[in-house]
Amino acid sequence: MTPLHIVLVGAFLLLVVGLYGLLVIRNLIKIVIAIQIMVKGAMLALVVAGGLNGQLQLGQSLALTVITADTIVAIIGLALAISHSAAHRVTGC
Amino acid sequence: MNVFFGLIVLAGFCAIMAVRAGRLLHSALWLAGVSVAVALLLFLIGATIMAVIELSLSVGLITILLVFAISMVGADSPDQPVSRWLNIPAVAALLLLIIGLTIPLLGTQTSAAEISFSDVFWQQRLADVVAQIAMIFAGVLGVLGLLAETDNRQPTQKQVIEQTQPEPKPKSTVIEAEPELERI
Repeated sequence: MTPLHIVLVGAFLLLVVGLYGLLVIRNLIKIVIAIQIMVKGAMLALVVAGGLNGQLQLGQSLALTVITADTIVAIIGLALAISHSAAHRVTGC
Repeated sequence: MNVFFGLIVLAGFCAIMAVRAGRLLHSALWLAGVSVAVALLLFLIGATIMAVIELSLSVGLITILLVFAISMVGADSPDQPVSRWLNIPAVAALLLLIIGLTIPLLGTQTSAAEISFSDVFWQQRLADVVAQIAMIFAGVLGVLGLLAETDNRQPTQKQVIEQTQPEPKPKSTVIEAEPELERI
């Protein structure tokens, strides 16, 4: 087993822990955190797949796109949480 | 090899603590720990550019954003985790399934002619760059729209002052009789 295989197992572990978080968590901000953990696993798997195929730079390039999308998802998710909390406070329900 | 095992155990431990932490701020800090471990792993496998980006974006930007959002929402937001007995066995089975299906099929590492990251990113994956720019614009417009909606929903300062000030008494039209002066 090479180091890349070990890192791939770690990537799957992060993916599964994030999925477990999505199953048990109800708070919106913690859901964003669970999604972040899952995407880190996916990003790591992309880079490792590129490394295993001898195209590490291509894997990095794809992972950069994923991390950009993930950052935007996190920002919008947190804005939704703030908006929901403000609405909850104003209406009182 | 031991370093890789240690970093994966660290990343997994931080991820589990981020999910199980009772307070939101602790979850955000554990997530920063996961990001640090992932950045170190990326650096060790040779993806130095992604390691730097992971450190600056995830540990820097995302952690600050989470702390800001937690301060706006309130650190004591209620969170009652849903515990079902099927959760842990299901995810453990999924993990074993994924590992069992993928690891045996992987061959050994192959080496190809190394092209530089800039050539791959700016020439071969130019469509990805355009898509990223479009996503960033869409994200900014979405956040502006959401936060503007939040501002409209909150009462303005004038409305708050009007609600707190007592209503002025209406002027009486009856002429009150002057009090009689005491005769000395």
